[in-house]
Amino acid sequence: MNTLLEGLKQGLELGSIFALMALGYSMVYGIVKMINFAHSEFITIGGFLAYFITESLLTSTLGSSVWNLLIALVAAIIICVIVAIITERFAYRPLRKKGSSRITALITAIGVSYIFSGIMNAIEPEQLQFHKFVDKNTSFYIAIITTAVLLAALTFFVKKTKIGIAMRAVSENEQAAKLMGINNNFIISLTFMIGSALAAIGVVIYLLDGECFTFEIGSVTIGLYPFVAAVIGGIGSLPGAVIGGFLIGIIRAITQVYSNIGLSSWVDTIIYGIFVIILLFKPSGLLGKDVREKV
Amino acid sequence: MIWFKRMNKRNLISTVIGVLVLTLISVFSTKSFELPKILNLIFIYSIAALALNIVCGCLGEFVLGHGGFILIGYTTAVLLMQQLSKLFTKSMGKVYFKEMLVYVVRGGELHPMGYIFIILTVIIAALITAVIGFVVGLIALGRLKGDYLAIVTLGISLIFVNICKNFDKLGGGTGISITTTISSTPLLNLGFLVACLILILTFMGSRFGRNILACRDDNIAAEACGVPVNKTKVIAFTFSSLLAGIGGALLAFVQPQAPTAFGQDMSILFLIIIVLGGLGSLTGSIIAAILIVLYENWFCVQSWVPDFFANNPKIIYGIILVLIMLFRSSGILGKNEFTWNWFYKMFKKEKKVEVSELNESPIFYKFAKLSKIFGIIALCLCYIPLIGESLAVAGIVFGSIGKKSSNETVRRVASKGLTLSVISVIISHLVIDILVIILMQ
Amino acid sequence: MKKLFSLLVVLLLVCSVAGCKEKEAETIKIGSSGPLSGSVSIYGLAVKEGVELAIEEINAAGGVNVDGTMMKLELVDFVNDEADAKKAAAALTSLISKDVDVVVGAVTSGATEGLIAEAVKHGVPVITPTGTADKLTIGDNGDERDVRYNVFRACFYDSYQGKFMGEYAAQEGVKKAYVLYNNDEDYSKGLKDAFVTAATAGNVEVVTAAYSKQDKDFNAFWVPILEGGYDCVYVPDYYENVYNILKTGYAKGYTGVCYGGDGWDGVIKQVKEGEDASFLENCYYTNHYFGESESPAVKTFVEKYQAKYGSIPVSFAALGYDAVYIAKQAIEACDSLEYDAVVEALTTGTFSGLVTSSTPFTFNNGNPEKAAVVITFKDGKEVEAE
Repeated sequence: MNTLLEGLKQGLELGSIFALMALGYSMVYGIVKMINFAHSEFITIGGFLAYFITESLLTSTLGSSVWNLLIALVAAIIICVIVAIITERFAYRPLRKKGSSRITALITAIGVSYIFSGIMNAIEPEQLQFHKFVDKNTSFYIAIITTAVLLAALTFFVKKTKIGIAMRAVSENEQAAKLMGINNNFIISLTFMIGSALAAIGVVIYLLDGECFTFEIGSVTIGLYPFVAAVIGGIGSLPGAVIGGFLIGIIRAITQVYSNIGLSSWVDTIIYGIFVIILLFKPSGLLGKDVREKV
Repeated sequence: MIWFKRMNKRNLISTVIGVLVLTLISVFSTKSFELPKILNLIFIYSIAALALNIVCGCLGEFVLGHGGFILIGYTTAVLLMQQLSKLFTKSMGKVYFKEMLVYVVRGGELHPMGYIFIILTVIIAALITAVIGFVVGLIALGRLKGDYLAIVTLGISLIFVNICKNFDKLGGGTGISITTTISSTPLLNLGFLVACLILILTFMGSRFGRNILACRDDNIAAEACGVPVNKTKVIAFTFSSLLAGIGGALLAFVQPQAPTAFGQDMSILFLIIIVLGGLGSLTGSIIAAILIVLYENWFCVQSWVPDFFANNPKIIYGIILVLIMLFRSSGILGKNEFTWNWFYKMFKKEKKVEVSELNESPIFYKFAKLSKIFGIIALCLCYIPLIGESLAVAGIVFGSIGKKSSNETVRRVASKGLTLSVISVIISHLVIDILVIILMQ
Repeated sequence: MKKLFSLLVVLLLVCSVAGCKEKEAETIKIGSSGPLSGSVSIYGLAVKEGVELAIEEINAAGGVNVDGTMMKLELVDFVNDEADAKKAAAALTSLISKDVDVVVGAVTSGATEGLIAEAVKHGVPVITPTGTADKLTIGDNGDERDVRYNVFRACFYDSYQGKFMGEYAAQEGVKKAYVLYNNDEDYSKGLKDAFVTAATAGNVEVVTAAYSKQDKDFNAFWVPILEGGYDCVYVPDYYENVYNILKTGYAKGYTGVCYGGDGWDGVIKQVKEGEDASFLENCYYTNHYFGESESPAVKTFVEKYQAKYGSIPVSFAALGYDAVYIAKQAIEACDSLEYDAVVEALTTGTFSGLVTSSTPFTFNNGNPEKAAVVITFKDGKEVEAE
């Protein structure tokens, strides 16, 4: 029983981190109908920057205080947002202008992700130790609370504010939104910015209890899981992404705490198996909207 | 055999000559060290890329799990060969079996029985892959499409990888291999490529092929016209996994690979190949496969190439993908097929330009004409070391001077000369390499 | 004119062919391959340093005596294979095209397997300094020695050290052992299997659990260990993961001992300055040699190495160094550079004076017969365990 509880706790923590990252995938997909494969590289970039800044500030007067972490977090968010804007501006926007197909967009996203991960691998492939700011217990509460707060804030933002409504309009019908005087490009850039900021927050929370940082953190350690979470929850749906994140996180932690009966080596099969089954029965995810194909 | 009738005579003859030349190169390549490997990979990658192109290019559905099916082909082939080898070891004695099969560059050639074994194994492995592909297609293709299908196939392929990784008999961490016992020859792989191409052309020319194309262009219209859309999709997917199985099985006789190498990265590599070549263009896939294999196995290992290229293939591939998507989203050939027409056009005469018409010095025109003449001569003499090459270099120099002209016709002549010269430089380099290799023995 | 022309062509051809055929016979060419970048680059770099040191030393002493003539050794190339099987296979082809006489490589087991698949076709003698997977010399099913006749290694193999540690655990009175292994590394799996067999035979209760290369957070993996009350955890993996696992486990309150294999070499370097790593004193691992041992061969090697590179050599450097000496002794024994002769000399010869083996040894199925050393940690330093 204790094992299960421990597993659930770890699963919730991991799940809330996956949820933050899944929100990014989900929002971007919801608005431009494109799987942003480069999202995992945003995660790596954010993590690297946070590592770099905390390490250099450790020797300064700030030491290992909370301010150090906050500065690192803000810097990571800013850099991630800048990278996202550049990516959107130079890789994705030209495609949108040409009105390319979705496959083209997907392939471009893969290409962008390859470029970033290649650059990351070229820098320094060693495993680095993030400074331990809080213990495991505190990081659990931080993760849960941050996710809850951010989910509430985002839902409010999307449902109530003017920009949020514009966002929904663009995702509903880009052409019509434009005619209503909405600046599409701005809205799409903003979505990318929010998504990458969430990625940065997620990775910093993941790291802050002294985890290992590698340059494969986005593409291998965290990997496709947040994306799978977003799809399971129903892409484009904010609560769906969070539910998916928790689901994947808990499954992963449970397989790990029951690793003594051999569950952990099957984690990919279990997660992707569940994923395939859910999609087969509910092709648009748990909370996704069903869209009929029209002639 | 509708494709056969559609080809014009000149193209057919040129293709046959091309295949014959490749056969000759394949036969003699075994004398060299690097060449067989490069040729093997080119042929195998071409088969696997063609397989993906049938689903992505011809059917228009997006699949990200191609590596999984190649993995199944690979694994079944290795397992089958291991069983076969055990069977024969029991009945004939170990030494005899090994002597019959081991293909050693230093000494022997692949025994005829070896050819039969490999062909048999590959066919069985491909059929098994096709059955699995049929099941996957039946489950996934009916319900999902677009990005969701891509992701589900990716998930399924990762499940395959996970299963193979967990059982040591199926691969484990570093993978199982058979190449130390038996390895195939470029000739065999070329044979499979030609066979696959004929199979694909026949298939695409048949009713199923036309149904597939109809589904790509408009799903709903096709259904309205009585095309069984779901059935067609499943058939195309099964056919594609059959070919992927052939590719994977052939790969088993060329190089050992770990199951994890067949994951996301391999799927994306083949995606890069077909996108580079042009979605829907069969010959485009082959050309792109040649480029990618040459890049990885020839260009990167050259001593004059900076390490950056060999160490960071991901950056290069990423840049290629993004640039293609931004500037030529249809790939090298688009939806067209490769023909030899452009080659013959090189020799066609342009209409004569009167010197008086030119409002510049006639020297450009002279250089352009010279370039073309040099190019043609270089092409004819390219098998002679140094002579062909130096002529071609002269052709390039003259051609680039001629290109400076302000007259369009002159420029066209110059660019023809330039192209011919460049081609003969490449060919003469290849010819010299091969001659040296053969004479070295 | 035509005759003159064809004469010219023939001349040119002959020249170019003659130019290619001209072999330089003055040096013995050694080729090598290993990861010089990537996550296990520390191994490749260490082996490279060991190989270079040995070559330098042999050349300074006059070279290798081949049939009366003293020949110098030359490291023609150390290819960076990034621990990848495909790249290692390509590396071997490029080494063969550079006419190498002996291949010292590759460094990691996976890459070595790729290299061997090519090497058996050419028959070039391959001495892998550090490829420990069992199958490298005998094949997947253990019946391929006649195919892999040209493959040898300078280190002991996985089953050996797994078995060694399993027996050690039984000897030390361990009751319940837990094996936490990396599912993506055959190295890890090989050690696990051997450990489980040996420990079970010694009446130890063993449970295994797998993690994958994705896992960097090991908190959850320790839960069943702490719940189950195990008194020994065997962690056969490379140092980065190992240090991470150990740190997490002891921080969570584990008090038993931890055992490991030669992949632990380098764990001590993971400890950050000012970090409390006293938990390492409960950890033991098998290694090929101990750098601060009193044996004279080790001492002179360590001194020379320190003079050149300024650090204490890890076992990988020592094995790289030994591999070159094994090659030298084999070539001297057969007085020839022919592939088959060298392989024959390796198969039948006895090798002595090596850093990682205090006694002379012969190869049995390509594996050297030598003992492992158990190492533990004390006051932030490695010491030999009793």
